[in-house]
Amino acid sequence: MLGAGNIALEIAKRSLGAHMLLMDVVSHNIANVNTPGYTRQRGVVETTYPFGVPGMGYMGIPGQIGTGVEVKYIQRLRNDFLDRQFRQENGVLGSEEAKEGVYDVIETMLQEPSDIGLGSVMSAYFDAWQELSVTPEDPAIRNMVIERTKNLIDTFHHYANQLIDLRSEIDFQIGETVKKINTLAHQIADLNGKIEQALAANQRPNDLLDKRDYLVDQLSKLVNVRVEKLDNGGISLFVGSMNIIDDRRVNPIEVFKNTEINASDVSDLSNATTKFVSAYGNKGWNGDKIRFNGSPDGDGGTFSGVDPYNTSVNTLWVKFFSDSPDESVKYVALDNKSLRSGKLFGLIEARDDVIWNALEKLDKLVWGLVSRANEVHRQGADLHGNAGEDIFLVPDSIYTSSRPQDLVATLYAGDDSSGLWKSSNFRGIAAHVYLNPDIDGHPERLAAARQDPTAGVGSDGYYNLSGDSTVAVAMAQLRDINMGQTSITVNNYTINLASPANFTSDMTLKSTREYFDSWVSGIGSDSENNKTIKKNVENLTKMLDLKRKQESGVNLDEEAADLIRFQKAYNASARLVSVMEQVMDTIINLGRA
Amino acid sequence: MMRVSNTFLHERMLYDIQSVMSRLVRAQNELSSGKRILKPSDDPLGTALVLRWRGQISKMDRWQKNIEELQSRFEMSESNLDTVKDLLTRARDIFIRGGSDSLGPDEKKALADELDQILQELVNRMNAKYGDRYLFAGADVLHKPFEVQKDATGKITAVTYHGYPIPSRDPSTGNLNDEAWLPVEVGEGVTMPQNVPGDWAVMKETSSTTPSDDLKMFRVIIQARDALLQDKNLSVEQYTDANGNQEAFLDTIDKVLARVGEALSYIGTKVERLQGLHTFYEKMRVNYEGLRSKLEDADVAEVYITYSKEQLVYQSALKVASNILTPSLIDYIR
Repeated sequence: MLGAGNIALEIAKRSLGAHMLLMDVVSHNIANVNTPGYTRQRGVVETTYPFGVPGMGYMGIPGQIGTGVEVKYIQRLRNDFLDRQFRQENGVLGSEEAKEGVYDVIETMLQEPSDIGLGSVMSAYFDAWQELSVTPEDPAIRNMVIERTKNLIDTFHHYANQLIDLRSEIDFQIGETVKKINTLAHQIADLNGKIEQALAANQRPNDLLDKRDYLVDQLSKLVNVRVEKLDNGGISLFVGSMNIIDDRRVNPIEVFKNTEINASDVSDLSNATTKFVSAYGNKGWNGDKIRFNGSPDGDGGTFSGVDPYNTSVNTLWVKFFSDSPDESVKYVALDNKSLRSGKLFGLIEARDDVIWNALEKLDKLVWGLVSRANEVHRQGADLHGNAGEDIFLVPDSIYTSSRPQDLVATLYAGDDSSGLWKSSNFRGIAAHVYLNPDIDGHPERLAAARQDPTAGVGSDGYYNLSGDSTVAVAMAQLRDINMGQTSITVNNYTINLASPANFTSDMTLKSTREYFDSWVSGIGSDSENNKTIKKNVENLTKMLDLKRKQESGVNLDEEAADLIRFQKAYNASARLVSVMEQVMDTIINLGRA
Repeated sequence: MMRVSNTFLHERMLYDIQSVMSRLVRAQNELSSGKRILKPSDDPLGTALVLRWRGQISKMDRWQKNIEELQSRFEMSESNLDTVKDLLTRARDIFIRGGSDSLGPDEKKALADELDQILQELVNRMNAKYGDRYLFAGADVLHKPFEVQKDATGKITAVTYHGYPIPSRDPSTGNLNDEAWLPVEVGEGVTMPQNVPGDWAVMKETSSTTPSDDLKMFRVIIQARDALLQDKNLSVEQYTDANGNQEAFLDTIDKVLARVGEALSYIGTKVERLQGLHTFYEKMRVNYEGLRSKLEDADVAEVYITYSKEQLVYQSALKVASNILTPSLIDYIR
């Protein structure tokens, strides 16, 4: 029999090599037991091609002879379907987490229910008027009313400024998130290149694939992404219809302050406003939040109006390379059909929905409270018998009138066709209302008494009705009277108020107190809702991730068992070599004995 | 059989421990603050109710304070008017004695002097102050309501009312109109006058708004005094009011007394009503406070039990974790 010993030696050698490789894979697994995103690998072994092909020159051995073993390839044990599911939920988790942070800040700011929040400051203000109604002529109590009024105004400012600051903070976070998205996109595109190279060289770039999957996982928390596999092993990523990674090329997302973008660089300018609206989610946004250097209809004018909040409104655009189908377009707005989940979406919703609504409600509350208070106060008489002045004013550099009761609610009444900042609306009033300086320091100018032309002024200059408390009672009753009510009657004295046409429908049927209460509990239930969803999604994401890890994670026991198995096989193969050596020895020394 | 990887085991354990921990922290917060609702989102509906009850409670506290202030003001008025009543009763006695035929001029002069004393004291009482405000000045609390005119000898010849007349009410007739009088809120949309108006209490006889000598209480005493000084008989002489109508002195002072009595009973009923409201609010406050507390405050016993339970779970989770996570087959390879 010919050459049998040679084959056996060769088989033993192959086995040694294969098992060494298998043990290498095991070591790699063990080494990466804690590496995030690592997928366990397994060497797939096969028998090598058998020796002896049937044919004319066939040497007459009793069959094909096995030629040993080889590691065909190293397999990555991962389930794509779980990946997709995980990424989808991860996006929702990202957006809900972003909103949760904002709700937490707002709820902390509200400090309700408690004895120190805006609710009790408002109570203290109305109580001061009550107290004045008992002793209207007392200068000490008049001073107290003024101090409580100042405190009320300060609290309004504090709340509004906190919300506005929170909004700028979110602006910053949006910028940071976009930066992170772009960084991840670049890394992924980079990996695409390396993976494609490896595949072209017929290698299995398992670890690179792991890295890429892990980066996509991270990206999926920031923005909703859809993965499309390419034939060359690369992937393309889409945010809705926007192609942010096209194989090795990245179309980065960019954020601009609305003053920074050049109208001519933007696609479809005639729709810019609506595009912008949709870019920010549909609720709470009107077109006034974007102002190009050119107007949408292309007449080159700039939008007028002063935004008392913040002119640095960001918008999100996907930048396209100049080889995009439309040569002239550099930027396309990321619209709300594309943006559906992820931290970015959550931040935008928090900014333009959550915070915006909170500000809007606060403004409405302040507007309703101060304009009604002014109207009532003007119909009273002060200690000298003069008609009361407005207590609350707003800067007329911002608004059309310095009198809050004269402001008109065009914007919130649903006028978003023009979509411009209305300098005549009441927005920002919570941050800008101030105490009439004529009244500040002049407690005698508070009008607690009714106006009565027949009552004169005494020789000492004091009104003959200085003990009357009718208007003070009316001021205090404003707390519980619907903001839309057109008159207040205290005893037989009727104070007429302007028609509530200026007020929006959610204000007219509520008193300031009710409006505040429903504002607080509304934020509470939105926040609760957010927390519930977040908790569910968090659970779901965790479960999906664990399910993935169940399949892809390294189990040390398993690896140890494999290690023992492979070691035994390796030992056996080594033994085979030494046996073959003896066999050879026998042959070589045949003639000697 | 489920495949278990080490990462899976580790993360699962961590996740569970963290959920227990967050429940533990929640219970701890409730225990240390004593509150069940720490943020509106803890119970939005409960928050809405708590805010409502809090609003009610703070309003009732305010009404309570208003009521207490009104009560002490009414008590002050009451004691002044009581004195006025006593003075007038004494004056009535003098009127009866002054109607007797047996009195000589000197005795009548003595009676007149006494009436003069009573007159001055009446003016003082009606000008009584509570703090800095004149009690019977109507709305014109900063100005002295009853001014006297004296002749060269210092005798009071007339008393005029300078306070502000109650709007839309003729003080010469009828009852007090609650609605028209210095309102103080003592309930939801319920107002209470702060006091009895002085011009009504002294029976102003005309509806003139300019101060004039038309106050029955003072006129009758001045006229009686002057009649006695002129040695006239009070049962024969007639009182002439500001409108020129004549009436017997005794009948007139009886009317004035009746008006003061009316004022006193008016105050009495107000004080009684205020007392009733005060008691009512005290009870209601307890109710509202209970409703609020039930929603807002933590049930300490219950939370403590939850806390102990979670702590137990937490500790056992830790123990299990420390046992499970350490060994693996690797440990047994020699």
